[in-house]
Amino acid sequence: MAFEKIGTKSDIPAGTVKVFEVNGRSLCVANLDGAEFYAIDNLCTHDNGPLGEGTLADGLVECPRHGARFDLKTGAVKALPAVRPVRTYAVEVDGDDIAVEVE
Amino acid sequence: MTTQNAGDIVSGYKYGWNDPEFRPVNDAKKGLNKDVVSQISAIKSEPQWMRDFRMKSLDLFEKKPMPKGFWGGNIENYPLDFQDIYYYVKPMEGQGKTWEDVPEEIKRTFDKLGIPEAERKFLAGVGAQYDSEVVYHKIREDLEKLGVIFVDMDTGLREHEDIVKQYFGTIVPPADNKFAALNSAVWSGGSFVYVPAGVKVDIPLQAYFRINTENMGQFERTLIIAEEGSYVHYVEGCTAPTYSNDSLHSAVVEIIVKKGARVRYTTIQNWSTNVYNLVTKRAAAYQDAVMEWVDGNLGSKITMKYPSVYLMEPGAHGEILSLAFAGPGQHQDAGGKIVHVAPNTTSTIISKSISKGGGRTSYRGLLKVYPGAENAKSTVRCDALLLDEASRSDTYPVMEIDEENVTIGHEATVSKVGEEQLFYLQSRGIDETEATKMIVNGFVEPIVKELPMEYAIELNRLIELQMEGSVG
Amino acid sequence: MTTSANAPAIAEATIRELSQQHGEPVWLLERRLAALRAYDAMSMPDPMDEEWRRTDLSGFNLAEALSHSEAASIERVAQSLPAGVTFGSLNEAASKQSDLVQEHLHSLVKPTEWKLAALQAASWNDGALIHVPRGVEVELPLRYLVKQNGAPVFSHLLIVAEANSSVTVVHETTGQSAEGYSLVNGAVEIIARPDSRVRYVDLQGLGEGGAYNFSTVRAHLEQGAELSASIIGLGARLSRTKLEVSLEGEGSHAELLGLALGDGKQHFDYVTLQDHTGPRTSSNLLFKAALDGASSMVWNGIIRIQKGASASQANQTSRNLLLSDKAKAAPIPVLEIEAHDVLQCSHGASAGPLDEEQRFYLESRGIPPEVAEQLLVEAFFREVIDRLPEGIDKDALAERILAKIGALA
Repeated sequence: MAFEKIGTKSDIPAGTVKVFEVNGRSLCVANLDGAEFYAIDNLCTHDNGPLGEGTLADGLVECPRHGARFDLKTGAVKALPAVRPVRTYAVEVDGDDIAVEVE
Repeated sequence: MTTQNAGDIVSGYKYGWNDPEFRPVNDAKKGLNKDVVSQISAIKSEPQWMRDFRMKSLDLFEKKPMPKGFWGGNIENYPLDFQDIYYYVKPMEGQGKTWEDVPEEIKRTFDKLGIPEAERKFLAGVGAQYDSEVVYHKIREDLEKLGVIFVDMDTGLREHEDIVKQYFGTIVPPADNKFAALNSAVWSGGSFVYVPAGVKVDIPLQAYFRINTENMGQFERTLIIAEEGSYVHYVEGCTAPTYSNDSLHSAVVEIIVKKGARVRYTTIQNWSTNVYNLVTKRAAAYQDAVMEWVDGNLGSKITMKYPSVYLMEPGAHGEILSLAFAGPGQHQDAGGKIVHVAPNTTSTIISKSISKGGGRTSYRGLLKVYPGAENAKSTVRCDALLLDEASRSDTYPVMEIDEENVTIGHEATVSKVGEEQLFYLQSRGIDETEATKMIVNGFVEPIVKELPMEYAIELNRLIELQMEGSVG
Repeated sequence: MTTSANAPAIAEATIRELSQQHGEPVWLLERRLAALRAYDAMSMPDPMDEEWRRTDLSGFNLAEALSHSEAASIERVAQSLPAGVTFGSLNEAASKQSDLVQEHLHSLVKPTEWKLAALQAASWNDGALIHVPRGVEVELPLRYLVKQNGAPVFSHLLIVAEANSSVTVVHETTGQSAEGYSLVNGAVEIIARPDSRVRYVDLQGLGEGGAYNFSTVRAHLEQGAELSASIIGLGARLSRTKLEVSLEGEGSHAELLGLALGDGKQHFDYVTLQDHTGPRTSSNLLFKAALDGASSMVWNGIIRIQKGASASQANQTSRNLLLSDKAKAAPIPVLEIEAHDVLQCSHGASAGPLDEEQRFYLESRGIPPEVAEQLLVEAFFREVIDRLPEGIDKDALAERILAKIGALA
């Protein structure tokens, strides 16, 4: 596992989430409020919906397909119909750079 | 009141009359748009977060396509003009705490339906909804003292905002499907039930829903929370006048059954045959919890309803008992979904459907077992009875088994009334119609016996009426 | 991974050349070209489509599959052929028995069903016509062998059994464990005339690594006809078989058997249809799958009893044995009943692991665990093997199945 740089803070406006391809994995990285960044799989555990196209609110990301919600920090499910948590990845913020820890 | 609709006399539907003298207290207009939604929220004086929730849901509703594919059923055969519906019709100012408080015309309706009498005789609490609002609500004092909350959803939001905010939309998010989004935007009425830990409500709580206005849309929203070790049985019944134009009933029911608790939710749906009944009902059952859906579908033009149980933690048990009767021109597309998420969970689905005079019943179900849900045990049994040549029955059970150590079984049969059975009864002097009724009663008995006695009697009567209706 | 909608292109010249090579009649060339146009116009299925949701085609690279060129081989083997029976190349039959072929070829399996059906209809080569004249009984099985060597195989087997005839056909597909993608794309059409008896056994034993098998088997039964169709799936990375029977003739009957044994990353996708339109028709289906490793299966089985199919009966049963924690099964038995006076109509589906008690019993008698497991899997399939039609070499078939059971991880 190593930290791979995926972009800069300005790539992800505050309150949004963006999709990045890292080492063959599709991840989405969310900018909670300008200071906190979180990375999770870009795949809803319910029906493979694109979490990266979802909306953020209260520290949760909502899948656009059926509305399942996940906690960005822990990956835990906060609203059905998803039942399994989504995988999370450690994020390192170094100045303006954002790096995510992947295999 | 108007005299009974000729079509109802033939079909035997006893609730098809309407109340032509009734006037709403708001300036009700047809159509759905941002104004209507924000008006509903304003009339109810809701907190900002609920207003935002409604507006966001309206947006989702407009973007989402009609359900399609497997869970879309045959909805495309039933076109809906969303702009030709009243989304909010307010029947009276405030809410009655006694039947005397309820306006005369409305009270007459409920008298005719037998509600006040039922309450006197055997209910622990009653909520009665007329078009968009709950006009009467009462809960037995002793239950109230124990901390049981049974109020209409508006009141729940107002008086118990924290609890509501914690759970609202977590079991059925607005984006779940187009009709969940619609309900989330324009919901009004419905029940909020909260049972504190360890409290067992021994007698059913009843909610009754009546549509009166033509071209009406009723969107009740119900949230039931059963804390650890509690028990509650919630019963809902619904009827509507028979109009030539369509009405829409699109409800959302969310239920949380916590550790060791048990919830039973019984529905006797008897909408008139101009109602589109499109409902999302879902429950999450936690450790050692039990969730039971008893779903009786007799009315409506088209019903699409699949009560679901998510078995989230070990020891949880889910049960769905579904009874559907489709008469001429009716399509009951019902069933249920059970999702085994945790190990050592169990479930049972029993579905009995009857089709008559061209009616069509479809069982549509999902049994899903996630990897890791070891030792899941489930039995599904669907039986369908075709009473005559014009009828139709379908069974669409989907099983997705992603775990090795499970015991999953599914059986289904479709048959007509057995000739030997008929012959046997007729040889004892019972005429064919009576004999058929007896056979049908025997067929549905496994489900009817789960109903409280008064409802069982009522349901048997309703089925009998349906069977008597329309000769040949 | 997915190529653009209409790619990869097949040159019209290739199809023309193929047709000319065999001296095919004009009507056949025209059909091939129409199919080619249909192929160009269609896209690969939408993965969100209800029919394809549980079958992951994303690993299949059509362009790559089409790029291989080692020839496949089709062999037609018959020990003795009674007079009047045809069992020869379909290309030849198109010229020699033109009317017969023109009437029945692609009458049941249509080129426009999906992209690969169009591809098959444009590119099929060699294949076989089995035509059994009135009243003739072919005792020994006719064997249709497809040996895949890397290049795509487009096979077509057309079976026409005239009134009162009887025939047994064994269709066997084998192939090496190919690296990369190899494609076997076939159609089987069975026309069973009044009171004929057709027994069809389909044994698929392609390489598990990269072979993709798409096959549609469709039968039409006339009055009193009887069909026994068995699909045995052992190989291929992904095998999708559609087995659909139209019981139109009064009193016709179909017996459908399926067996799938999966390991590694194999995926079996079966679609079956028992379509009853004629009165007093009957059908029975028994599909058993045992899944080890990370293999999976989905079975969409429909029984449809339409108005007019009075006094009919139909059953379908799907039994699934899960041998590992990564195996997955999705049996979806569907009933669509429109005829009121069905005699009897039912279905059942189940899924679960090996019976612990039975396993314990064997092990307590000194049988090593792996052997006990193999014995139980064999016992699980015994019911299907026993019900295979008479006349075929059941022992040889059982050997093939046992060999794979023995090789399970």
